Amino acid sequence: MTYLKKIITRPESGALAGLVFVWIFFSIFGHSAFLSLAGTKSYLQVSSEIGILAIGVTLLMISGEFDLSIGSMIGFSSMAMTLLTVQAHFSMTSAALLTLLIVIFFGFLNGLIVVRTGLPSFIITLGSLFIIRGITIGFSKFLTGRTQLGGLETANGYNIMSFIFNNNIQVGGVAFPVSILWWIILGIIAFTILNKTQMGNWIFATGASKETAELMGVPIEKVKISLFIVTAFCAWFIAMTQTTTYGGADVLRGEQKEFTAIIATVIGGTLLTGGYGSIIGTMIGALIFGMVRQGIIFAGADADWFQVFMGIMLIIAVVINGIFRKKYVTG
Amino acid sequence: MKILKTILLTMVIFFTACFNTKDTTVKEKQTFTISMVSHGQASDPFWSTVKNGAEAAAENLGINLIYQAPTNFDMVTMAQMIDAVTATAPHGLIVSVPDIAALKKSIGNAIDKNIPVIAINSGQEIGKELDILTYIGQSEYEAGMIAAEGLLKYNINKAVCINHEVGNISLDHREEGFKYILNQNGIDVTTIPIDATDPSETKELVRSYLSTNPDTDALLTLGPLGALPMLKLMKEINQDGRIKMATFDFTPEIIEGILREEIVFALDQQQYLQGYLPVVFLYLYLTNQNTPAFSQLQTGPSFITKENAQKILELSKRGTR
Repeated sequence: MTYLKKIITRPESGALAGLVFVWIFFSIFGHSAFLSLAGTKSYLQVSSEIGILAIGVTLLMISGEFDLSIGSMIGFSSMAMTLLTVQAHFSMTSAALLTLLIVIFFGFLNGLIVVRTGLPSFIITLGSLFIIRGITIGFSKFLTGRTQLGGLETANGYNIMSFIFNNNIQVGGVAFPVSILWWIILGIIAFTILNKTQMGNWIFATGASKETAELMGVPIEKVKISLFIVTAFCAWFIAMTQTTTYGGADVLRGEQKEFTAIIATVIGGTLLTGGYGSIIGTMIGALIFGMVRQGIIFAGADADWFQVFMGIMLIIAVVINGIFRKKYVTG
Repeated sequence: MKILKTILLTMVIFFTACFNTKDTTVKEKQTFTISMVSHGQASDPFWSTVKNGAEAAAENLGINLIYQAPTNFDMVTMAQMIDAVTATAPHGLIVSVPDIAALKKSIGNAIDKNIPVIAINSGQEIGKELDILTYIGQSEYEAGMIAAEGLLKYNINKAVCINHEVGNISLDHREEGFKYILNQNGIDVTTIPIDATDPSETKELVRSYLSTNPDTDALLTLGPLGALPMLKLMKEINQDGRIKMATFDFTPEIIEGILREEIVFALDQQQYLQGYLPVVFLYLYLTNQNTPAFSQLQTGPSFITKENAQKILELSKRGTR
């Protein structure tokens, strides 16, 4: 009984209840394909991509900040790597590393401006959302006159990149993408940092109360800037996965992904105000999101009504999460 | 818990009403399920006509049609949509392919699962890489040639072509085809790239071009975004109808322009066919193993002239043109 209670009072259990609901719902109303291996692969792939992004977003949100520019960073990374490889004839690996350096610099700038000006990160990163997207479109059009580039499959170094980002794990004849494995690995790393290290304590302290954290001697600026770099890294990681999987990029890649990542984080129980949250919760949140998005397609909902179902399902998942938490966790 | 139960119950009723529960019900007579995934955004009237076509064909043939499209131009989401649709094992799949590199893998996966695939609207080149049943769309280069031939009937001597989206490969193809035919006939073609977001600037730019090149007597716009400001300009400077104006695609204003003889013709892609025909071909493949021998079927262009403009206008209000 005490063991059961221990599980049920964890902050993630609400999200877990939401997940169970969504899964049962689509098992009944979704097509039988939802339960098949191919169906499972389909939503796990979506979940893993949102999930990797949401891991960075969660850490940053716990420290009390947002990064709205991650969607644009996905677009930038995809296009920069493709341009460097296809136009400038870099090997794909060095193009990827160079892109990573630039994106980390973007993350650093975001963080630096936020901590130095003291302005809400919501506004600062909204600005960088437009700037980075604009740079992506501007450079692509200027250099190639096009907004869509392919041809990575034949590039130098594609095999190494493909091995890292586009590998498959065969389970019962269905190829599960390696991004699922990366999602779990990155999740474990983030969980360990957040819950077992001093850095984790600092993140919670920064988000809970800036004043107290300062008194305790937490290097708030360094914590925040490094977390902005982490979100930028996550955006880059997704960009690499998508460009190697789909063999190219277009300038609109990653549009609106900042919102899906925040949604997954919030479904997972992390507070928008900072200071409270959980990586496991976020991973469940991403799983819910992927299940809902693909589940609706399995169920055969018409495109015109897709967003309505999507919104309803997400609200229900969050409501169940809330009810559950109130009843069992705090009560 | 009471709230929870109420919500659940409402949801169950709601979703039962909305979703297709086809696979559990009637099994005696085979109903085919055909999935259609396009890149058309909800705001684009072009694609609602395509969808109307597909739905009409599905209804006539007793097919269960499921239409899906990403909410914004997002090739990754579209690829994942195709993956999910493939997992439901529909009897046939209809896809538009605006980015072959991004969608190739997902479409190939569907073909591997023995789902017959027809590509529509964009990406006819995918037929060279994948074993699709056929492609149904408009070949833009040939459409440009047809536009040139249409204008040649008016004994023109010097032409100008207005491109409202430089970098859009389909428009480039239209322009190249147009140029090819006219140059063969010894007619000079000048292309003017314009900024589609600024109709007044466009109008003035072309006005000054025409005043320094008064021998120009033919004008082709590559789409409504270029055609509408040109229509205004023609009203001002082309009262005698010396300059023959033609355009790709149409809107009600363009039809009215044709009726008032300010535009000699518009070329219509007839996208209704891009929805209707793939459903018919998939049906014939499934029931009769018919495999079309053409690698691409041209749905357009068809000419809209003074003779049929009124009729077309009425049809377009019904959402079928």
